Amino acid sequence: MEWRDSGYVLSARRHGESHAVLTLLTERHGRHAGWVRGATAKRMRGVLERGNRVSVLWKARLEEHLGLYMVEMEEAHAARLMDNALALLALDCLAALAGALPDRAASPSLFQSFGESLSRLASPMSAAAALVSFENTLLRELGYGVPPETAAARIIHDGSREDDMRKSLAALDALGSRLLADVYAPYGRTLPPARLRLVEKFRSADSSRL
Amino acid sequence: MAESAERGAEIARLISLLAALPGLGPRSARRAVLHLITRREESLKPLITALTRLDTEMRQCPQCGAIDIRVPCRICADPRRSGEILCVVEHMGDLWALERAEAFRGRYHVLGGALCALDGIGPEDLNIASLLERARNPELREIILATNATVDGQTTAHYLAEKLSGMATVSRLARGVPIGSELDYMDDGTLADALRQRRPF
Repeated sequence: MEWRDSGYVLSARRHGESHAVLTLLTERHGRHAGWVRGATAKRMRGVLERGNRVSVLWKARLEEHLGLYMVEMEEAHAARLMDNALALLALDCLAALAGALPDRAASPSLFQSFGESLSRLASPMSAAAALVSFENTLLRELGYGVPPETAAARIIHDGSREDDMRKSLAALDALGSRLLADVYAPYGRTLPPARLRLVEKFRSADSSRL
Repeated sequence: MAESAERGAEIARLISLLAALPGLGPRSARRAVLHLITRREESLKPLITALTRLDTEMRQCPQCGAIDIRVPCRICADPRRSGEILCVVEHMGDLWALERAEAFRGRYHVLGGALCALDGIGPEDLNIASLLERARNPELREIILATNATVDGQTTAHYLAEKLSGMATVSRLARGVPIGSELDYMDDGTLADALRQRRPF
């Protein structure tokens, strides 16, 4: 079996000395892992960084196998974000939240939302709006309702209005409660620590503007 | 017969233990074991002595977190090294790499890893509290954050920079074109980073 797809790197865990198990958020195959031969080679190390968009060829004998990934870089987001502390934290947060998606369940809208979010991490205001949008999509994709408090924040923010961050923070509080109650708590888990730290950063960015 | 079978099992065990080490596979482990048992005096016995000494005397330096058989470690105890500049690295391997470069004459601080939200590695899991303690030393002028140029490494660097602000000058390693590399073969991210961080010629 084999297929080609495009995906964002969520994690790459070392397997043995020079290989890795790569988890991607793909466009047509959802959150999907695969084995990458020679992942620690110089040519590959920069490619398998979290947030990078890669084109991938997956091969396996049976569909339920882990399978072998052959990966090529499409867009190097990680290097672009490395100088921005907030963007890196937001990237960790998005990757951790994408982990709530079931394995191999296709979700083109979440894939699209992940990509859009990556391009909106430059400032706290746009990053907060991007996280609201991503979490809305995640809840919808998982089959849960979206909290009514997020309606105002669902408008695409232009980052210029004073009250944008307030709306986003209110929406994130509501989304956080819904995610915890419906997605994480039933499995004895808490919200990802990266999300808690990110929302805290948004809050301090908001209060420092006052 | 039973004795030789037992001896064979011990050799097989040694081969499998060596084969599990980084850089060695079953074939190279067999070669290494054969070398050791045919050169007992020159190779096997010195190796046993070195490993035993390492096992009994190896300590983590309470100041910098490096592994050494001396406390404090050789680098912390060396009076020729500057106490004004501190280089923060993730692992011992990174410290050894910087020492090989022979370009740094200050002291080190080994974190023991990098922050990783996905793996649940938080600040309390790393050697950060002792770094903040060392950073309060008024003699310290600069702290170089030499964490890896990975998402986790840079997340750690940003976290530390925030915690260390106001204590000493905080810098980080440059990123860009490696010596001997050709632009045509470089990855897009490094190339873009090198362009962003260009400097006057």
